[in-house]
Amino acid sequence: MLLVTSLIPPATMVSVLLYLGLRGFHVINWEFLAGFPRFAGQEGGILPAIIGSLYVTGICLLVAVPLGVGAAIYLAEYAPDNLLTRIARFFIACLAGMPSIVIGLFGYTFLVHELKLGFSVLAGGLALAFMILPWTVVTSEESIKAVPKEFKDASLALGATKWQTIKDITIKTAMPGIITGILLGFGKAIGETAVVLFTAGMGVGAFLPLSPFDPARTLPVHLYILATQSNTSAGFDRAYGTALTLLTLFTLSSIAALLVRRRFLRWVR
Amino acid sequence: MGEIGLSLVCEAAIEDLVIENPVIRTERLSVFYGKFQALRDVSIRIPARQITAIMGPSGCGKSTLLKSMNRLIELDGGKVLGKVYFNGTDIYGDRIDVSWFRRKVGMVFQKPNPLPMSIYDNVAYGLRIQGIGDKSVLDEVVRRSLEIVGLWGEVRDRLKEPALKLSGGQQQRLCIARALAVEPEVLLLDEPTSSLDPASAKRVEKLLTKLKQNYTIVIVTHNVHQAMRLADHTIFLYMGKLIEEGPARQLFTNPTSRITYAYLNGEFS
Repeated sequence: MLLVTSLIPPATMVSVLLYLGLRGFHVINWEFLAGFPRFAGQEGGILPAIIGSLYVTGICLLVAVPLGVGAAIYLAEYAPDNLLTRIARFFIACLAGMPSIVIGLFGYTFLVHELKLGFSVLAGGLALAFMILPWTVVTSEESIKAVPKEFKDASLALGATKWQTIKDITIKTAMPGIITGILLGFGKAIGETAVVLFTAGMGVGAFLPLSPFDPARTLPVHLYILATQSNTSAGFDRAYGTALTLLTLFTLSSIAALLVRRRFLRWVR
Repeated sequence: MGEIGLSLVCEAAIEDLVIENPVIRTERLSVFYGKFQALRDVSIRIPARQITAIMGPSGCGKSTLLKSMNRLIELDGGKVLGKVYFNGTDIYGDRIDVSWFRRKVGMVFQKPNPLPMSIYDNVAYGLRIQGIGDKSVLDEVVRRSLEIVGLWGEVRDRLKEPALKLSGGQQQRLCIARALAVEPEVLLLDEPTSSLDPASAKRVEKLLTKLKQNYTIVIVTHNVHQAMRLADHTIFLYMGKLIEEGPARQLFTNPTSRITYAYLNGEFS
């Protein structure tokens, strides 16, 4: 019985991949990956959406990683256990559980309108950063706390200051965990639809976003549009092709991150 | 009546004990962990270029006394009352530079704790945090430190390998080399051989006898035989109190306190 339950997730995963591959693989070619869409994506390629996704997610990580790791260092190493810290932790937990559509709405009112960023790569990246920030904080804090005290003692006993110890020993040792956290956030960000729809806009499919103030269409948004507005099966297959591209992009980034992670693990094992 | 007389004689003997220019001296040192008092009014002297053994049953405050000599005790949440002097300077005073002082008083821990980096970087770490980056200087210090502990021949061809891949005994000698690299005056060792196999333990003991020509060594041990083999000067603690301090020969052959006598005869541990 339990065996069956443990088989359901991998089975789901495999069938999704198989189905995606069967329906999407044949549309993937050079023109699809490097071309511009025509007829609202029914023909042509998805290059603007690939660039849009990477651009928005890149800005998101650029904001969320330093902020998240910084907050984690403070919480793990400096924060006194008082009411203020506990309130901060509570809000971090709340933010983690916030439905993405609500974060999208907030991004729309605050970033797009109040800060007058408009539908833009920047607004999208920032809103996504709000969304993944709690995950980055929590995973980083856990891995920083898991660094053995012996390492810190060794460093301090050699005359290192607290900050030197954190910078050279603690963060380096916690790096594999921090990278896992970033990867988790990256996966959530690159696959997110609701938040970017509200903040980066739908973009114009055939327009390559260059400035951070340009609107952008990301892969999930492009996928959504294709899937809901195609009236031919060929157009629908392009949605599967887009999904497959999105997954491949995520897989390649994960492999890269895991390779970096392994470089850090080398010293601990 | 006899016993009171004896203990008076004993105290007088400790008062009369003359150690020329002790490197470290404590004056009525008490240490508290919360409400628990781990040390009670301990006043001892550590003679230069000798091996001082701190002995006593588990939980008597041996490690606490050792760790209060380089202020690592504060990181374990210990609160210190009384004075500790290093070459006449009050190390808990406001004007002490803790980083400088911790370099002067090196520490080797019970469990070997190489840092999660290469063998070379472990030894170079203490210099790098002082801003010394000159490769020829670092190369020279690494080689010399590893030679002193007799590790150079074993690791010279794999200096770039993770230090955690070394055997336990090699790791502990690496930790001693790391402590020596920053040119300390004093070496504090907290049961440095208790997690090693007998052969490795013997090597470390031999090393310590060699090192006492140039360094002042303080070793915590629960092994009476080890103390007999190594110590020139001895301190015996029981339940956080100093019971007896004196030249090793005197304490082992003619202890003044009944508790010391009982401990040496293995009546409790």
